[in-house]
Amino acid sequence: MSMRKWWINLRETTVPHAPWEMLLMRAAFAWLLWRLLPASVPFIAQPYPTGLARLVDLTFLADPGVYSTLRAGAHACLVLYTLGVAPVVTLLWPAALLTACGALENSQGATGHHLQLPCLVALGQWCVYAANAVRGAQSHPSGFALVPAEAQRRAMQAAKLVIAAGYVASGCVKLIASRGLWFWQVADIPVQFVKAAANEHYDTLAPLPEWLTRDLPALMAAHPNLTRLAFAPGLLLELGALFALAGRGPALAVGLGLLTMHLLVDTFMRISFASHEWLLAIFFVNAPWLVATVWARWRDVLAGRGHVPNG
Amino acid sequence: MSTETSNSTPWWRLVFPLPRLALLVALLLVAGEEFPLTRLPMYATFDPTADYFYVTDAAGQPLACAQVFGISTATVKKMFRSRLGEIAAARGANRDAATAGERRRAGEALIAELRVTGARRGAAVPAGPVRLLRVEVRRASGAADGFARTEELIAER
Repeated sequence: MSMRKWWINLRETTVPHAPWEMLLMRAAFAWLLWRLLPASVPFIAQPYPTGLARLVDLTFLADPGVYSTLRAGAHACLVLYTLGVAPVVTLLWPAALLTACGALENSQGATGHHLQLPCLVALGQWCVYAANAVRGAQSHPSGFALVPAEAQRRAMQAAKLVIAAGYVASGCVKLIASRGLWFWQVADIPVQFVKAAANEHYDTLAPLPEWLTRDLPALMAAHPNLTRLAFAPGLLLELGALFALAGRGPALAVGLGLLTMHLLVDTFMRISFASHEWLLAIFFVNAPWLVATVWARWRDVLAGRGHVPNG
Repeated sequence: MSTETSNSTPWWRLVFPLPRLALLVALLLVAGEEFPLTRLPMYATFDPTADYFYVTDAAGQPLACAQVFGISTATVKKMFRSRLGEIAAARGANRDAATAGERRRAGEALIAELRVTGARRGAAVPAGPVRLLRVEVRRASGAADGFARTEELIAER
């Protein structure tokens, strides 16, 4: 098949996840949202309102009594969401609370980027559940869930869609903001390594290894083309995240590629995007399915058969 | 690709085979930084220089910013830029054209905010004066590690 035909025929594939898979995916995502909800909100003002904070004064979250009540409710909802109970309500509550917390945090004049994608994934899934409820399509319980398995699968696909869109948008921004010169400009990244190492040091005053603060930036500065070569795959991986929508295999490949990219950035620049990594692990890599598949194949090889669960 | 495929495929499918993804990406790019929407613009461009901030006590001893104030030095830098931009905008200038006095005012306001936020987080905020410093890094072939650093005292409060 030619590249052109392959591109034209590229379509979203809603993966036929088994109910047990989706239960585990919901559980892992609920755990992530649980972890991301802060223990308290220290911000008593929103001097530079952004997004949701432009519409609503979110400083009420700084009231410990109000926030602890909302957070406890969100925790209860996440348990029910994991069980597949009324996700129109049980996902909306924690999604809205986390979005409000993130908007307030980002309204302090410093834009962070660790909360947007989890919020968008939750809101994207909620849209699917809400549309399903509006259509009156909720039928009999199926498998582990109280909403139709097909609606759950669409919700999982929505999560993948949002994650892929986030990475593709990030790749596009690199090309747009640099006027297409990103691959050329990335040779200037050694000063960013020095900066990142200094940030890490002055956050905790913990000593950092010399290879990280001195040797690696110097090596990259001395070999700009090698630096370009080393960083080019990162942009290609971001732009290529769209292929994750084509099915299980592509999602696994894209997920592992992007996870490797994050791991390298975390190791060498000490910049962690843990929430993004978890989203990739949950929805793209889908480790429980991977383990079950390997296990089934190994078992069938021993038994002289060939079978893949929900392949 | 067969002729039949070419004739039956709308033009937009050739450019955007995944229309839902294309729409979502377009939305994120147009909306910009309006939480929870974002372009995720980290490291979209690179300059020959970079800068970082840190805080010290009155004696110049560095403080562990994330532990003392509950806010990372990377966030401190972004907060300083926002406040500096606002102060400079009051006279129609951008933050790059800010005067030393405006930078000091922005830094002092930021230190005051760090104290409040740190205290609300339960951090052990120092009672004495705190200094905010900025360091600019650039490549320099003559420097021992290949990088030159210029330090600036922004404010003390």
